[in-house]
Amino acid sequence: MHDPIVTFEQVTKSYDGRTRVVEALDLRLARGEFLTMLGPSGSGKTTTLMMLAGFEDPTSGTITLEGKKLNHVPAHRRGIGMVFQNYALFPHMTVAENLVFPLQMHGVPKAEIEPKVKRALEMVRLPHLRDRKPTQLSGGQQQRVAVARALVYGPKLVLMDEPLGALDKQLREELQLEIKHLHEELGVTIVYVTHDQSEALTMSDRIAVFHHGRVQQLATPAELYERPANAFVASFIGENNRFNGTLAARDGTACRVRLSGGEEVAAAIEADLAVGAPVVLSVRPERVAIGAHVSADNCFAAELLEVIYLGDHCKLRLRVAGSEAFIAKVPAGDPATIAPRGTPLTVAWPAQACRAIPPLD
Amino acid sequence: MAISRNNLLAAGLIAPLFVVVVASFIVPLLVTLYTAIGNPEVRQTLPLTTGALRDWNGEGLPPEAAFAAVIAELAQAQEGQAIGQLSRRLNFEQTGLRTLLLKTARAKETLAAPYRESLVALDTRWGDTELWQLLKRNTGTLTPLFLLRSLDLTLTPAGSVAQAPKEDAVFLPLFARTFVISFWVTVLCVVIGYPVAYTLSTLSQRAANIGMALVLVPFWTSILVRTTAWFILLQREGPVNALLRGLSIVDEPVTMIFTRFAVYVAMVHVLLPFVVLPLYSVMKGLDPVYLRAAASLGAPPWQRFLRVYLPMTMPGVAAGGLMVFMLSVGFYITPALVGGPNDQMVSYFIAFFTNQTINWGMAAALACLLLLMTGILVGVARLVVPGFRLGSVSP
Repeated sequence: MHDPIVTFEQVTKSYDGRTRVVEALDLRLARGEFLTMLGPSGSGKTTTLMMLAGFEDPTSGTITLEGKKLNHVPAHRRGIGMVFQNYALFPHMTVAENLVFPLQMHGVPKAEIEPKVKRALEMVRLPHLRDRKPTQLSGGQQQRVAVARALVYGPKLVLMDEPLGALDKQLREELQLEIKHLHEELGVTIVYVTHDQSEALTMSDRIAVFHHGRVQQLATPAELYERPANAFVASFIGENNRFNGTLAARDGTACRVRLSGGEEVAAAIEADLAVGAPVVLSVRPERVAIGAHVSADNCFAAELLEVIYLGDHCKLRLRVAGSEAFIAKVPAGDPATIAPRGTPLTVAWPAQACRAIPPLD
Repeated sequence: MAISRNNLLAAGLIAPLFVVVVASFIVPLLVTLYTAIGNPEVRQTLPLTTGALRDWNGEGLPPEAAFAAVIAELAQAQEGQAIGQLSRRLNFEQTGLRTLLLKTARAKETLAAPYRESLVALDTRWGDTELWQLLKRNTGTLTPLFLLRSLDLTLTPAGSVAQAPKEDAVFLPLFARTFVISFWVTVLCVVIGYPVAYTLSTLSQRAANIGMALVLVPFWTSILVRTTAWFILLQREGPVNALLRGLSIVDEPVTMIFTRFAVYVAMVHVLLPFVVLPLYSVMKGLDPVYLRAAASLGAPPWQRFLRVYLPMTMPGVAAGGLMVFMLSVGFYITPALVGGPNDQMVSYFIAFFTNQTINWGMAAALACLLLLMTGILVGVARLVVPGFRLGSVSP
């Protein structure tokens, strides 16, 4: 990637000098991309965002924006827009005044302020609320105003710190699409922090999965889902069935894994692992075929333990190869969903749908 | 059933407080209001005279019956000691009336009918229509005189309102002085207290506790003790002058005690915690995310302070400032101890009228006007100062 807008080079952050909240982070952001930092709380994603915004200083390493070193540049001179989880709209100002504020701070000429405020409010479809105080708005409206405020002065980079975390599910999904569309229209670079994997999959060009202060994998949503780099990523993104085993044989990207119960499974492998290494097998529930006459690279006898009805599909909990938590996703009308508990079934999945990945250290 | 029992319980729980509020606040307030306009002395001490003057039209001299009644009742009042109150009351209306009344009461035996002639012979003032007009005016149950006097106005014998004589016109300047001193004390407290509260709000919990104790220990100390301490510190031969001379800043001791300066120093010191505490709590509750948001929007530190921090802490400024102002307006001990004669405030005169001249009407009138003026000023402040209206800033 040449001409990245933001780079992190060996950035480390530690508050107490011992525990590293962020460790040796290397990251390059392409101009105009939507990058999501995804991870559980305490994984270092928010700290990384705060270092980029200028509210935290890296303990070591360098952050650059547009090729310029950011260390010791105060937050208000970075020209980076930010949207906060609790909106942080100024309660003593009206909606319009909240939008005027950044324009004044950036020395926008008086005559240009009003048209910009108007455009920004139209962008988030709230021109009728310009004279309201933030406390008079709903959560969704407040967050739209916060987004408009972060974008109104035209920053090239906007950071969003779990902006939808306080909203209910339906509103969250609506705003996810809105933010995504704004990103596409404006071409602005967005760094988005969330712990919600479906939000990350919906919105992002690329996702950086954080865990223990390190980026576990940086990839497109599809790649992250289909080819997780390690057990943490596999478990954090989407549902999966996991088996512990050892690498029994390997031929390029194809391999055979021996499970603890002695069964052998054909799988795909990318990680740099030698025969005999412990691995985790990950199988996505929707890639599992089920029934009496299925066949694939891997076929196992299974026993139906539970049917979980979810409207458009059902989840079957099965006993497979010693595991009692094996989940398979089937369409709602599948005969297996009306089978009584204890029915013997066969499950099968192709070798490509089953990935051998390094276990989490 | 359960609801009404709960209501009864709630009413029972607040009943003691309600009784205390009524007994210690509402009743005294009403009594004070009444004392400011009540006019019982003439009616109670001279009931017959009051009756005799009822039909007099105020021209010439009243009928003989009034002269007879006033002699009899004054003499009777002297025996019952009620003459003191009456003569004090009327002497306030017109200087010299005390001697006239006492003289008349003592002379009862020497006076004979027709009383009109013998009274005028005793003292020519009894032949003065204005004296009788004054008496007749005060047979009413209420009088505006105390309130008028408190506003440097007076009543002419004919009953119209006029400017009070210059030597009595001290109260409007007194009110003005009271509010000016209170205003500057409030401003000084806010200006000094704001950075203190800010610093406390940024300290670690441990350091903040120590800092808070430093603010609170003086707060828990009696006002009298703190004021007396300033009295000692600011004396001519006191430590402050010793220090100034020791550092060769001044050659001669500076007069600080019994000046306006001393009043300001001592009052600000006494009242500072009242502005620090509410400011601290508002600042502590202010989510720092607002300042981060302002920074991310391009605001340099001083703009973050002016445009975000200051407006959002205005409720604290308003609450603290209001408290300091209200308390200042009623300050008595501190100006009395460390101030000069020209630094005394309304409360000093309320105490003066209550304790020295036993003129409760004036004391009550001054108190009522002080309450009214303070109420008006606070009402205006509510409209003008933004922090008052911005009642709730919840992050």
